[in-house]
Amino acid sequence: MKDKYLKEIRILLGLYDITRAEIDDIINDYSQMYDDGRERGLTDAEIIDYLGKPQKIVDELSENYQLCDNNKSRHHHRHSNKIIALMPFLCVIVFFILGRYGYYHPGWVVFLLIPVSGIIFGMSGKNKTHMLTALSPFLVTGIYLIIGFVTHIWHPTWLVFLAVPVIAILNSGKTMRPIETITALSPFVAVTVFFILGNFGYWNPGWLVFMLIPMIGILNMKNKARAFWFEMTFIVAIGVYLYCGYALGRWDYGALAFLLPVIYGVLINDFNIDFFKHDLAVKITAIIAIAIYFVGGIFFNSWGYLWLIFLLVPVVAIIVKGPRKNWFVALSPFIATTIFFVLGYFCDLWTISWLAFLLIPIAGILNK
Amino acid sequence: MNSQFKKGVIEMCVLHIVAQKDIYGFAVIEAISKEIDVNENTIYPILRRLTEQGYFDTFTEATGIGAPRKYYTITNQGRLHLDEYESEWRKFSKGVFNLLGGEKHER
Repeated sequence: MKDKYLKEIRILLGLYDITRAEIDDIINDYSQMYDDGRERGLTDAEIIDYLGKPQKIVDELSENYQLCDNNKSRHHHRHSNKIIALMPFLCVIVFFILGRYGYYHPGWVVFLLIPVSGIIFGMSGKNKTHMLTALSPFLVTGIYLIIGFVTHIWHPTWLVFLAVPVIAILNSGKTMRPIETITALSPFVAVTVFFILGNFGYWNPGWLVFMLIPMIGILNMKNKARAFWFEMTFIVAIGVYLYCGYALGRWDYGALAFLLPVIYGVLINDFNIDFFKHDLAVKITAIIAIAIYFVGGIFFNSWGYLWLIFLLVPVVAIIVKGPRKNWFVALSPFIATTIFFVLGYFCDLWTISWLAFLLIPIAGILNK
Repeated sequence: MNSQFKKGVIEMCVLHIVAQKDIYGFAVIEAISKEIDVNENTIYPILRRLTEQGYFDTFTEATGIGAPRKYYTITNQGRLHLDEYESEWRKFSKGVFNLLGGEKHER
């Protein structure tokens, strides 16, 4: 209960412009006060009554911090707003000057300055790490275009787009434990490694890197003995799969071995990754997705693309649990990834399918 | 009672309690909640803010078990602030008392 209480305060504080050192100090103070309450024989509920509800505490603490920042930046904002308002006109002028000298392409790239300047000047005075997160889609697009125009290696250069969520996760590290950060990063590491292996012709068994995601997720489980045996079921399944594939030439039979961790997970009823915790809809989606993935893989050899079905799991979690007004923003990364991959994989349009990722900042802007 | 008003009063109480002796956070909360309903207010943000404003200093002391405790001690600036606060409060409460007919009742 104490850990949960402190964690909630930490997460809520992470939403404001408070340094990590200050957050640690506040959490230490609350931890001490909680212990003092226990020493007096109070129950958890009584201690929380004394100390206050996390939301209330953070509301009061953050009032001071935000007031400070607003005062400092009010004057600065007037100038920033002028620059933001002027930027589209400046970009059009620069674009036509470049065009006059025959550089309409890639001169159009200057239009990226509009959102970039909006972020830099609009967020000045606020948390710099949040600014980096907001800028990352444009920085990455710039890197992608430069590498693409110079080397014409559009695929797999698109992998740099994975840096966008990775930067966001790393920047939110102050509100997450190290293992949670690693868990959140694991899908992106897996996708990157999968495509690198695939480029060398190892799509299969390269897809096994996706097993990293649940295997790292399991490390979050509180019951260490169960976590150990759960990890073992994955290791055994991977071993059997590789043996059947390489020694017997029957990858399809080998794939059945992955039923072992699925069955174990269901038996112990302990898929303890956050979005598996409460909702039946999410659990059912996960099981159906796994079933479709394996059935499709075994009968239609669809290992290379049917992994997209797993995106349904976070999508359903967002629809079931997320606030309705934020659906579009929260779902946009999954929609973008699906459009990007479908266009690239089935139509060989990797060179333009990356544009789908622009949907993410567009959704964010529309939502504001 | 208006929550801003109540918060101001509690701030004065926090200053007063810390002025009596060096004290740790939970003990401040305990002392205040014995007399006033603080369910809607949180004391710690007030302690923290007063420390940031230079009215309190902090130091830690070993507890024998667990992590060392953070103690709050009032600074000279804090004492001056408390004196101002208390004199304003006395003037204000006397005025309210008079308006409500307190003196007539006493007679």
